[in-house]
Amino acid sequence: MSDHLVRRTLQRDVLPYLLSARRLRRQWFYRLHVVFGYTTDLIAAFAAIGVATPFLSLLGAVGQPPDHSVSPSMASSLRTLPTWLIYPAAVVVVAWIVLRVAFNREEGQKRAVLAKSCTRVLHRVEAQLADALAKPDPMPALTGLLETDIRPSVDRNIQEDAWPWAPFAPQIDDEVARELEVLCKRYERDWAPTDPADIRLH
Amino acid sequence: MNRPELVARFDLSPTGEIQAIVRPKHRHYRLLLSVRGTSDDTYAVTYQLHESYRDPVRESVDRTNDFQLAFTSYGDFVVQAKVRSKSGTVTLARSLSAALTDGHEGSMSGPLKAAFEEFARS
Repeated sequence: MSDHLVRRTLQRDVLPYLLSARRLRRQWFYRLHVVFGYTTDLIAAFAAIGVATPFLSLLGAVGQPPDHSVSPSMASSLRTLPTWLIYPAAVVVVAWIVLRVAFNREEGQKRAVLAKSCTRVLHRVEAQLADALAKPDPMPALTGLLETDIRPSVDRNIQEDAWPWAPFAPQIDDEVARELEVLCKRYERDWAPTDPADIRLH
Repeated sequence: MNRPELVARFDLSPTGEIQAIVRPKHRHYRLLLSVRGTSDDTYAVTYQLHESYRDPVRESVDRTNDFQLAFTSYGDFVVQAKVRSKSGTVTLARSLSAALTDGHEGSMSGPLKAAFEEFARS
């Protein structure tokens, strides 16, 4: 059963897409989207409950007593920091600004949202794969998943720069082989034997 | 901009013999489908073969051989190719016999011509 059609389809077509999709979460735009999403929400939440301004005042108080005649800002707070904290804080602020600008210029938000949607679609396909592979002839279901879910989703993401490979992530063969063995061990005995020759039936 | 072209060839052995699987009803010729003239940003071609194959939709991601696909057929049918690139998807469709004629660039003779005639009749 080393070259069953289902096995070949999983190895050649289905698994490389599914495993590449798992690596989407490691892309810079995906990670920054998560970081910016959390920080923006946290800052907004703090501001809403009135914690942001006291926090800046507190930050200023580390260096010296706050000047209550002016409202606290990041710039004034940086000026009042202890000397040893000024450069690290400036580096963090500049890095934050550079990342924000790069993220916006490179359409990071759009790419991350598309990538997130794609990973969801392919995650759902992974769940449907179990049902498909449990059938005696999984080929119609596998073809359906490839044609209606996997390829259209990946194509859209490639065209929008949200899928950085063409079309599979590099060095994915070992991972594919491992996953294939797991799936075959679980389901292969359920598959009906097929003619090894690749021929048109009628 | 050139439009990509779907072509096919009979698969020949190193000694020039036509490769085929012989079954009681038909001779299933081994064919090589490919798409010439794809743009540099093409990353895959998905071929739609006759519905009677057990896996009628097949994909090639190897641009070094013009996204070649090896398969067998005993006779003619219309094959479809979706050329997938960063700039979009182009769908091509043509009969295998027309693709074979272009693939061999009109230079079929002897056994190759006989095989083609038998193939085109089926």
